[in-house]
Amino acid sequence: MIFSLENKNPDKTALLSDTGLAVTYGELCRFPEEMKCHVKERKLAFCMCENSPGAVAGYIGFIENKTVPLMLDAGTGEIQIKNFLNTYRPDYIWAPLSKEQEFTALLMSAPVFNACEYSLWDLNKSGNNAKENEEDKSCELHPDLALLLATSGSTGSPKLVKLTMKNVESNAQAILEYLHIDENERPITSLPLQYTYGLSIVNSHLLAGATVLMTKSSYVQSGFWEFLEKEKATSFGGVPYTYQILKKMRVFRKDIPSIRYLTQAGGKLPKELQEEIGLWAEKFKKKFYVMYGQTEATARMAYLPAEKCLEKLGSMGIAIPGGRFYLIDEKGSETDGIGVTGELIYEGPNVFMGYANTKADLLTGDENHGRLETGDLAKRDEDGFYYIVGRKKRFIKMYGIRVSLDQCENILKEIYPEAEIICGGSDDNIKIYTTDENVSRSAPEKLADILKMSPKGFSGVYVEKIPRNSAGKIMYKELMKEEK
Amino acid sequence: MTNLEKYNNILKRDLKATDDELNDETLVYNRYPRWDSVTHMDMVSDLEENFGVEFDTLDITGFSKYSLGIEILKKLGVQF
Repeated sequence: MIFSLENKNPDKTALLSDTGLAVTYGELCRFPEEMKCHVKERKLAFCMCENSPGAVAGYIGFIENKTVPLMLDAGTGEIQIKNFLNTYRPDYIWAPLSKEQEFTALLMSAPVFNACEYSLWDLNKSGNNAKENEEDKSCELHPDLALLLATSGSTGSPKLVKLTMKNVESNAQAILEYLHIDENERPITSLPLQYTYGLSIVNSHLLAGATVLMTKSSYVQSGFWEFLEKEKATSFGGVPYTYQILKKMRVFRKDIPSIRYLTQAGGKLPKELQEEIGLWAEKFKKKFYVMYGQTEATARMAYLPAEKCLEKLGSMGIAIPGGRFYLIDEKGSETDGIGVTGELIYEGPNVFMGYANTKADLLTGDENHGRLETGDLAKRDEDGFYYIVGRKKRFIKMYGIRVSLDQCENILKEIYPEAEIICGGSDDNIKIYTTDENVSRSAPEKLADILKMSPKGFSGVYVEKIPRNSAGKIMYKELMKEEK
Repeated sequence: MTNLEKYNNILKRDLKATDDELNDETLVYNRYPRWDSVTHMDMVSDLEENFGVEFDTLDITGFSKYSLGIEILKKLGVQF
């Protein structure tokens, strides 16, 4: 079984929710068998995720039955769900009982199976989908394909990352090793399950035979901290924005007694904050790990050993066990100098098979052969530690979610076809440069609204002209100087 | 403008809520669509700034529905 689940103590609790639902390793091992008569091999399932045992049981159940789950947020809006349904035409949907009415209405059929507060729909048995799925009946997904994750949480793009069993298991094993995870750990969920980082925490702890504490409460709610305290959680993870909030909540002024370690990934943590948390960890004898990863690498590619946290501020560390980094210059040749910036290349068993944009893409095999061009510009210091310098392509992270600046421009150009608009900025801070003063005032809120994000991270900047070079390319550095 | 109006305006603006949604059945953390952790912290900052108070950890985690924000502000010395 995946993560050798059959070798764990069957009486030990694998998943425990704050509502009291507990699933033991024995139950988790038997679950795929219960699901078996309802699902077929090499078919596609949408696993609508929330942080609850049912979501994880379904994920394990699908994988063990060789049905490929696509992990999606159970809170995904109807328009986006329909977009995914139309693009990928799944055979099954696994969704929380609390959403049963919505899905029954949407799919026009009743669920065929219930377990762990979740329900399963078979779309081949439902009225309106049966016909459309006729052409997919003979369609078998690629034998290596085990799991699908969406690349961007919020821009609505149905682009998927295709992962193999080897990807998932090797990454979980590497994480288990460098974080020294054993069966006594009790991580509490602080990130969404469908998010690669959130899923990697569950994976690596199931591999260790540990107990995952699952709550739908967020760390800004008292329910989260009560559950953490009551069940003696030993770790949680967060994106930079999480740690900014925790700092504002003054969490790092006192001990959190049961916590053994904290992890951070999903974007670059400001140095001051890394230092503050590093000092907190030192004072209270915890470990704080800054890490680096991408969905395309299943989750994790690098980590900064906790004992180097204060010494190597701003660094995302070294490659995980089994992985390797190097830098290439613009011509694609390997560069070897200390402090020289190049594009970061990663090689390891956790590099994804390829992207999918259509159902047909789910039938094709590995395109990457263990090599990933991260798109991040990085440099290396004399001790071999890596530092992210910037992004090669125009992506930034907003509250941990990857947002394409090009896509933002396209959205705004549809709303304001007459205006000249360029998006720039840095993580958690999108700037909309425009030559139209009215647009500079209204665009931030409009864009935030469409991306379903807080308008606080968006600002409009009125400029006299958009500076371009002779080839017509926008000169971003000049553009930033225009800002007064 | 009364403090209640000021409070209501902040919530309406940050959550994009309407007047008839200003109640404990509708404005609940995680249940009201736009009340997520990001908006939550925006609201906390706006309330702190506008009322000249500072929320502590328990105030931030305790603010989980419409009326509780008023209770916390009262506790911090704001008159309603």
